[in-house]
Amino acid sequence: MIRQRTPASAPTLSSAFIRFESVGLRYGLGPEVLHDLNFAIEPGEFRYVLGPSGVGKTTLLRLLYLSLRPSRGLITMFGHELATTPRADLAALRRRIGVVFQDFRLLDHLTVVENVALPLRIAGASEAEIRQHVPELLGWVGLTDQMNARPPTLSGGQKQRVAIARAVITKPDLLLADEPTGNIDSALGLRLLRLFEELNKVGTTVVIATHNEALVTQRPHSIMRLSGGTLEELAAVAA
Amino acid sequence: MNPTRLPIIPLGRDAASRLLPFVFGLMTFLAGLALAGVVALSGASEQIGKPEVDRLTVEVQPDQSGDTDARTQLVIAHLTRDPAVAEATAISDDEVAALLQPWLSRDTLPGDLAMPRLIDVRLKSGATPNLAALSEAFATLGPGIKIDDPRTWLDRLGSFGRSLAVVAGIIMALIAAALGVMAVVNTRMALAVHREVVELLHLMGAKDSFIARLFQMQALKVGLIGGALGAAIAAATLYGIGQAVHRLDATIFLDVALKAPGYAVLAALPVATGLIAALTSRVTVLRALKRMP
Repeated sequence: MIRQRTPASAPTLSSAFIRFESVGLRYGLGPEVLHDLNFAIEPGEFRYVLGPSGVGKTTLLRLLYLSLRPSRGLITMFGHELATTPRADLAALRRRIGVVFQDFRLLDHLTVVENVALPLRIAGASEAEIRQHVPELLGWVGLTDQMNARPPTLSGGQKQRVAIARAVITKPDLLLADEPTGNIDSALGLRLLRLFEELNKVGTTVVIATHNEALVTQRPHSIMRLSGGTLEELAAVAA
Repeated sequence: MNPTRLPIIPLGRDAASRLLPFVFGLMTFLAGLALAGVVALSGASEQIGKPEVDRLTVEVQPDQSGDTDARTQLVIAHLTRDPAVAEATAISDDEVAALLQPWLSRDTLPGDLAMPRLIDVRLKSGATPNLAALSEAFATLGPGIKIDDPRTWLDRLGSFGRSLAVVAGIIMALIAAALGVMAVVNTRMALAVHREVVELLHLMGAKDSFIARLFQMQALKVGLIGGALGAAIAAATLYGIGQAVHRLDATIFLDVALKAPGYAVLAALPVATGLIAALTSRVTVLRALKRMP
């Protein structure tokens, strides 16, 4: 069951880890696809962005992982007002975010190990650190026997787990997942959600975009429902 | 874990990129030839520019009076009065005929051919004759008396050689510019082909310099390989030409065979090719990334 928690227009913004204020977005000269987004996310929260396909969930996540700049409004990430943050400093903010893309975006020419190690290489980790952490994490997601496989040879579920491992290898402050259960059966979807919950328990803030209301009901957390380009903030309780 | 470190961006695998070392090689080869031109022409100009000429020649052409010998003696008298002149000697008809022999054989030389008289003038060491005053004095003796000072045309030849060396240098600069343009075009193509990977790295928080380094190291590698190929072929070509010229003993040709310093500069060409490719590639990637949010 889902019930409304707070009105979307009056979020608590003062100590926000992530804060959107009157954010709107349009592509080029087209109509606004997102308008007047006002919300705040605190550290350690677990949130769903819920809404039907095509409503703008991915666009909202793109704003969160700094792939898009808003057409209007203010976004604050990790205490940094993005509009005034120098471009050179955005890379450091992006390294604090792990993303599980809807289409995984694994690099087909790299092995599973190399795909998962990529964020560590970007962060400047040593080979010793990479050799220690990557196999450990792949063991945790159950892909020890696929370490040297390449993505085209993996099943959808295996790709999903590689994408998750890549997103969390650097222990990001914020984990974003776009329809993480979209390509897999419900049993595996639940297992993945439990995995996200485990990460959340160790302090990672998690935001999951999904259209799957049944799944949300099974694993209840705070919900932001996206409808008609606007957002309403809801709270969920266990069914 | 696989110990092999795979390239993050699979650069150099498409058909266009595979051809790039050969294009860079061709450009380095041309740059090597231009370099040999610069070295040879600069060396020749330097040699010509410092002539140690202590002689000049005065030509007395026969006139209607027919008394060329008398005019020759008057010219010698004027010459010996110049303090710069050590000795002025008229060259005999036989010696003049010997000089003409390579072009007109002695047998075909008509006996009544009016040949000019030549005066060989030896100058004192380091002395310069007053050619203007001498020319003025010779003018009073009638037309057809010319002073042939080799230093004048040697100066012109030296100047021509220096101009050619500058042209060869400009050709080298143009080749370097063309190489840079090739690197820019190839980098833009690679950015388009691997756009998704570049975007992914950007979203993962890779600094622009991290992404640019991936492209620039590939460009450096291709530049070094292509450059080494081109420089090796250029060295072999120049060595071959040098040997051919040496066998001909054709001193009329410039000595295009490079000496040790020339080969050292030639060996540095692949490094220059690599650096130009790497630098232009880096700048291209950094400019493209600035357009990303």
